[in-house]
This record gives sequence, C-alpha cells and structure tokens, in this order.
Amino acid sequence: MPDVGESQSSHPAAYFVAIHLTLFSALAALGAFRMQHLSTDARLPPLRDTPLEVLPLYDYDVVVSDEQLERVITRLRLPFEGAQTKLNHVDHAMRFWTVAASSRDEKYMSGEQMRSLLTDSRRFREVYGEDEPPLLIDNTGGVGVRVQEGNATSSHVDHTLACLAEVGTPLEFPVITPRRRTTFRAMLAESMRSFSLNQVEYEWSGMTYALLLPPQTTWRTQEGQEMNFDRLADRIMREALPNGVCFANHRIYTLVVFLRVDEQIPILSETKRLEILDFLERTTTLLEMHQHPDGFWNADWPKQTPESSAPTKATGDRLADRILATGHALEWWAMAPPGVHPGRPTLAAAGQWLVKTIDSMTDEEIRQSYTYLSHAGRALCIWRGRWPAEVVLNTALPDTEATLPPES
Amino acid sequence: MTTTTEAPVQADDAVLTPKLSARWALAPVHLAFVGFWCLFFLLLSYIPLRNTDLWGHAAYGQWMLEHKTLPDEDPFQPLAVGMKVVDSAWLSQLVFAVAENVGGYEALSALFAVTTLATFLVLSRVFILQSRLLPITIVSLLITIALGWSRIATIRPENFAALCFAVLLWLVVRSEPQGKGGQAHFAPKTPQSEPVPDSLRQAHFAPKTPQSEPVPDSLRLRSAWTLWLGVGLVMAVWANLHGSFVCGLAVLVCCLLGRVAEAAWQTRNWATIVADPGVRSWLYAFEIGILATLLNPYGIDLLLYTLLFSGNANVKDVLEWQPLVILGTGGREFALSWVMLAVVLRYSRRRIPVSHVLMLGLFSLAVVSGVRMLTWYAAIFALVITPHLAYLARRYLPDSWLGGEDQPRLDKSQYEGLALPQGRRWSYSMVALLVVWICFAMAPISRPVLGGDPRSATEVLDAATPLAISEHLLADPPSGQVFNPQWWGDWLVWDGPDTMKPFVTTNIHLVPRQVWEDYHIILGARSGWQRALERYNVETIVVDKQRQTVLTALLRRSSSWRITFEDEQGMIVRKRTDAQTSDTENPDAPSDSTEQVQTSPRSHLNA
Repeated sequence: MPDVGESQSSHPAAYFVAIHLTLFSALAALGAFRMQHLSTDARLPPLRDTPLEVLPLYDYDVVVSDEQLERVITRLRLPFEGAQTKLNHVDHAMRFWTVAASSRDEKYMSGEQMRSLLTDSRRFREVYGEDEPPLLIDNTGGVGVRVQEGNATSSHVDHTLACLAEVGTPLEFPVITPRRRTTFRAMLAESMRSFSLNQVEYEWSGMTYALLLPPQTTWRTQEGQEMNFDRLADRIMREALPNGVCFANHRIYTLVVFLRVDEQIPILSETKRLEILDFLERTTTLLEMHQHPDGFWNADWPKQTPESSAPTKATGDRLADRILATGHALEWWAMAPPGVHPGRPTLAAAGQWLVKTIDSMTDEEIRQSYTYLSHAGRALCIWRGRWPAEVVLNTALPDTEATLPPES
Repeated sequence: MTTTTEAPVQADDAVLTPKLSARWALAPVHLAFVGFWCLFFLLLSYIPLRNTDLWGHAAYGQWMLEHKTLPDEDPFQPLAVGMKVVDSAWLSQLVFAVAENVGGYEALSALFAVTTLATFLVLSRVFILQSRLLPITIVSLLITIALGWSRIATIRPENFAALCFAVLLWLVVRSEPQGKGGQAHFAPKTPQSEPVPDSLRQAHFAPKTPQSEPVPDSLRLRSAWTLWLGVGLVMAVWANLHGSFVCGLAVLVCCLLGRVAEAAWQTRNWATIVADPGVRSWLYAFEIGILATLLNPYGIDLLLYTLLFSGNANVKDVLEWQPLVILGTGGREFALSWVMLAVVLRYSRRRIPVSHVLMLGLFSLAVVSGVRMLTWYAAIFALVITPHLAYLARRYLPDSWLGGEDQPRLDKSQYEGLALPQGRRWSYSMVALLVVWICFAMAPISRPVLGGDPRSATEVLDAATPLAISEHLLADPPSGQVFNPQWWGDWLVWDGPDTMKPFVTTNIHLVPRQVWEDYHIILGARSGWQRALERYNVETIVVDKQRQTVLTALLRRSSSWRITFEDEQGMIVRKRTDAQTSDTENPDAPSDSTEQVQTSPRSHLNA
C-alpha cells in the first residue's frame, strides 16, 4: 500500500491547496466556457440592419389596366376612425400603402402615422385611450405584440412584425413601449426568442426572418432546435392545403419570399429550392383546375371549383372568402418566378373579377373586408410593377396624394 | 452369484485424501447463499424484455453500427430535426445492438440477467465486507432489490450503470480505513453496558495527529492505488455507458467531504486537514473520477449536459422524473426504508460515518425530486444500514443463526489438514454445485450449450409489446407522419418499417416543447386534437386502446379516419382520402368503418 499520507504531508499545505484549487478552477473555467458556448446558440444571430426588399417583377396590364388600378386602390384607403380603428386594418394598410404613402386629409393616415401607431405606445395611447392595454409588451427577451385580444391588437402572430419588415423598417428604428425606448430589433428578438417551428402561426415569422437574417441562415430556437430556411420551408409545405391562415395563402407567399430572397442571397439548398418550386407548380395546377369561370376561387380552391357565380352564405364561399382566396393567390403569383405562373387567362380573369367586385362594393362592405381587400389591391398594383404609393390616385378624390418612396 | 477377486487394501488408501483446500467445503449457510443466487439468476432470466426505451437504445446502437459514427440528431424522430443529441448511453446502445445481432432477443435477455446478477454479486461483496455475516448480506441484498425493483426489473443502459455503481461502492468500502483486525466495520458483539472498544473509536475518531508523528493506520485508506485506478476505470467506462455517472461522482464527493468533516472535527486545523491522508486520498479519487468522466466523445459537454438534463421541461411530464409521492410508485418503499432506518439506528451503537450521512441525505433528496433515482438510493441505503444490521444481529441473535464469515478464518494448517471445521461438509459443496448446474440447465442461457430451441418472441418479450401492430405496419407501411403513444415509439422504430416516422419515442427530451405539448393534446384527445393532427399532417394513428380510451372512441366515430387494423391491444387508423370521406358521408355507404379491418388473434406470434 502506498504511503500517501507521509509522502505528501511534507508538502506545505498551501502548495497542496493551491495546486488543487488550480485544477478545479481550470475545470470550472472549461465548464463555464462550454456552457457559454452552448448558451450562445440560443442568442440572437447576426442580423441585417435593414430588411431585404422583394420588388415587383412584372407589368401585366391584362390583369388590371391603369385606369382600373387608380380607381380601385383609391377606394382602398383606410379611413381613420379614432379608437374604433381596427389595429389589424392599420398594419394591413401600412403594408399595402407602405410608409411612403402620405395624406393631406386627416381622414386618412399616412404610412408613417400608421407605423407610429404600431411602434409608439404614446401614440397608441392617444388613439385608443388609457384603458386599452398597450399593443407592445415588454418581455425579458424583447418586445412582444399583443395578438387576437380585440380591436386594438394584431391579428396574427408576428403579423405586425412582418408588415414592419416588409415596408423596410430598419432594426434601429425607435420603438417606444409603455416602459422604455428601444428599437425594432427588440421586437425581432422577442419573436426569435419565442419562435417554435411547430407553432400554429409561423408564416409571418418565417417571412420576417428571411428579410432580416441573410446572409445568416441558421440559428437556434429557445427549444434548442437548430433552424434554417430549409426547415422552415419543410414546415410550411408540411400541412395539407388549404390548412393555414387565409386558406394557406400566407404559407405560399412566404415560400415565394424565400425564393426571391434566395435569388439575392442564398438561403436555401438547391434541393429545397427545387422542392419549393415543385410545390408551387402543383399549387398553381390546383388553382387553375378549380378557378370559377368568372375568375375567382373560394376556400375550397385545392379541391373543387365554386359552384355558383353568386356568393353563398356557406363558410368559405361568402364574398369576403372569395376576395380573400382570389386576392391572395394573385398576390403571391405577382411575386413568384414566372415558372410557377398560371396562364395569362387565369391571371386576367382573377384580376378582372377583383376589379369588378371592388367596384361593386359599398364603402361599408369595403371596410368590413378591408384586410382581404388590402391584399387584393396590393396584388393588382404589383402586377403593374408598382407599389400602391407609386400609383397616382383618382383625381376625383383630391384629398389624398401619394408620393414616391425615398430612394434606397 | 459371482465372486470377484479384489485387490488387497493398502493402509494408505483407507482414507480419501481431499485434493481441494478445505476452504471449498461449505456450510449450510453457504448452501443457502448459493441457492439464493441461483434462484435470483433464474428469476432474472425469465423476466420478459419490457417494452421500454430498450428498443430505442438498440435501434441507436444499430444505427451507429451501420453509420460508424455517433448521431448528431435523433435518427428516428423526424420532428426532432435540428435538436442536438448528446448520446450519453452510446456504449450501452452498441452493446445492445451487438448482443441482438449475435443472439437476438435471447441474447438481450441473457445480457440483462448476467449484468444484474453481476451487480448484485458485487453488492453482496460490499455487504460481506461491511458485515462479515452471510445472513445480513442476504438481508441487505433483499433490501436493495425490494427498494429498487421497479427499476431493476427492466433492461436498459441503467443496468450497466448499476454494475458500475456497485463496483464503485465496493472500491469505496474496501478502501475505508479499518482498525486492527478490521474491527472498524466488524466490531465484536459489544453489550451496551460496555464501553466502545478503543479500536472501534480509533477507526473514525483518531486523536489529533501531529504531522511529525507517524500517521496511524486508522487514518489511511487501504489500497489507495487500487482505489484510484479502480475509480478511474469505472468512471471512464460509466461515463460512456449512461448519464448516471454523476451518481458516482456524488459518492466520491460525499466520501471526500465526509473525511474532511471528520478531520476537521478532530483537529480544527486546516493545515492538518489538508495533510490528512484520508482527505488527500479521497480528493485524488474524486479528481481522478472527474477527469475519467471526461474520457468520452463529448468531453466536458457530457458532464454539463447530464447536470442540466433534469431541467428539461419535457421529462418532467414523465412519472420517473417526477417528484416522489408517498402513495405513488416507490413512495411506500422509500417511506418504509426511513422507518426501518430510524428503528435500526435507535438500537445500533455503531457510529455513522459522515460520508454515509451525506450519501444518504443526498440520494434521499434525489429520490424525492425524481422517482428514477430509487436505483441508486436503494444501494446507498443498504450500504448505510448494513453495518448497523450486522451490529444488531451480533448483539441480539444467537451465534448459531449467524454463521458466515465472522467465524475465525481457516489458517493454512487447517487447509492442509484432513479435518473440516465444524459445520462444513464436502457434501454441501457437491449439493451447491448440483444446484448451480440445475439452475444453469433451467436458464435459457444454457440452450446454446445444452441444446434446445430459443424461446418465441411472445415468451421473451413483455406482453405489453405491440407485436401485432408493428407486424401490420411492416406489411402495410404507413406513408407520412405517424402519431403513436411514446411508450410504443421505440418498439415501432425497432420492429416497424424503415420508413416509420413516429411522432415521439421515449427520447422525449429531444423533441421541441411544442411537439411534446401537441403530442399530449392528441394523445388525450383534448380540445384541438384534430387541428394538431392536421398541423403535423398525420396520416396514420397508432392507438393504445387501454390507455387512450377517449381517442379510441372518437376515432371510431370519425368519418375522417378508417380503422385498418385492430386487436385487443391497440388499433391503427389511417386518414381517409377525400373520395373515401365522401363515401362515408354518403348515407348509402357502409356504416361500419371497420369493415375491412384486419384483426389479429395473435396466433401468428407463436410461430
């Protein structure tokens, strides 16, 4: 048996303690380093200062003529109704008109006023009053947005975030919560912190990340899952059609944004890009198969053609549902690569049905279906290669003017 | 009648001369001990392979054999894509896979029996060292088995870990300082009226020892080099077998802190504490233990991962990771153990080493916070209580009841002499050999040697194994995502088709939290279960009819799903196509959705 005690007891105790403390400290330091390394996986990845732009590609006057476009979108301005203004109308309108839109008439909000209402709690309180819970919520991970809790809240998870990103809001754009002054980055941070690949609504989150992450393509969620755009695309394509918000059209639109961003900065693998293109082609085939002769679709667009020209009261076949299905389809096609487009007659029929329908609607009907119509109006503009703010509005309505967006 | 001519008997041949040492002549108590082990081995050999995470581990092992690497992500849970895997049981998984490749289910069963037997044999050595009484050793073994049975009776990587734990305890106990003649642990029968012998006191309460004086034996660990070497080997192997290696580190740190506390109590001088040979030896053992655990494919990440593992939100939803409930699984056993300890300590005059107090406290807390820690607690409890049981046995029981190893050891002259010690007979040895042979012959492990067909799958596997379900899935592989109860997931991965996409397996810690929450919604058919199924585009559902009664009833009534297989255990339903749904909604269509269902009388399983 070794005489451990006697051989080592001659060493000064201090040396002994120092040596072993050093050993344990080294081990602890290594552990702390690795822990830090592991925890960095859950931190915010490097982000772009300004969102990528996905610009209109086409100018097809068979979809909508100049005159029709001016007439139609003039009717799609959002009237400001004070505390009665629905917040989801505001973010839809901001996305539709962009922040470049301005208005001389207090009846309508400019793009910047709309963005201010979404990002500044002081302005929000002025409009909705002290009793209304704030839209912006301070969380430990950033700033969240209240969702589906009434008129003064956002309609979908990360919808407001995506709208802000789509209109080019930079990450350092000031955001004022009831408790602090921060930036748009804090809103994105909260979204990324709480994101789960399998959450119910993920379309707007995915689109926001595609606009603000590249060239970074991977990050880790708070669930510990390594995320990339291939996986997001798989998630988007996983569910059967037409499952998802707005009869699955936002899923499809996000896939289109992925493709368009990928053309600027690669974010998809080649295999996934081809899978997405194949998915979109099959989707287009379904839409072509099931388009009503009048040019519209309804909630059953992947399965069957609407039965009648006149809207019914059945859920999914009301006029609003038809506007929703048709406007959204026309919108994603407008941004998609030509390889996944339907034939021109399909596009023309859809565009003309939308124009005719909007022309026939009362102001009240437009107000009630504003969110769907904002997509329809945006689709019509994009098919003419312009943003709505770039369209000269109908001169019969001189109280509004549009200005060109600032040069980027 | 015939007559034979016999050779004259020589005087030297009149008495048979034993060729074996007299130590091989056994006493009745030894025969009982042998019988105990034989029965235990037979019991282990016939415990069916339970339908648990075993199959997931075996599948991982098979995957590693095929891919010649460790998995970075779970290869079998598509919904866990992107979730980092730290495979803390990779070596166990390889062992399972190799065993299964070599000898099928029988080999796994034999592996379980041999590993568990080895574990308890090592533990018996621990208890013998502590008590020197075979009856007390058996009692301690029975206590360990009773406390930990809920976990012992299942084949899983934890079995290998339990063996490592037993070996570590053996290293610890055989290294503990002892007084002359080993009296520190094996104190003579001491009436309460008598003072505790000095030798007993000195074992743990040595007087303050100036550094200049020779260190008394009572302060030194026995076989320190063996301890360090053994700890290094055991911990290195353990860290690669199972994540429970932190329990080994806990034991070592308790020994270290226990010795530090005792030295501090004796000397109240930090320099003397540092110079204490016991303190130094345990410190080295602890350091070697930690460093040895770093010898794994993940380095220090494995230790960090293991320490953080219990914080995983998903595992907290599983019984074995939940806090102990007195009237729940393991709760009564745990409560009874503490009652028993209180009674024993009330009458025992044996001192309790600080390290034992620390170990008992730490592992009790561990059990209270998670039921699965019962395995380790059981062995620690027995380790703590055995010296006291031995003390009480010597004090209150007649010597004739005890026998065992506290009897004076046979010296060499006795071995070489012809006379056997009292109570020992060669005939007992022969009977013991016969019992061992009978046990071997009766155990399935003997079949490769003695002949005989291996048992059928239904005999080796637990009755809860969904054999018919996996067979149906093999015959008609599901397309797309499958929803299944997690407790069947591993088996479906193992025995189902290669294209199987289970929703969750028992590796629940690897699926994202959202998936786990949605799994519970669907499993219990809670509000939103159909929408959740759509969200994951589930096309096939495997249902455990006994445990998912609500979902079973709802699926039977649903027009969106059709039953394609059903037996008394479960059923498989598949999503109807739109055309099929239309047919079902047609009043003229057949109303019995199980019209073309395959049923399984399970008769094929005995083939």
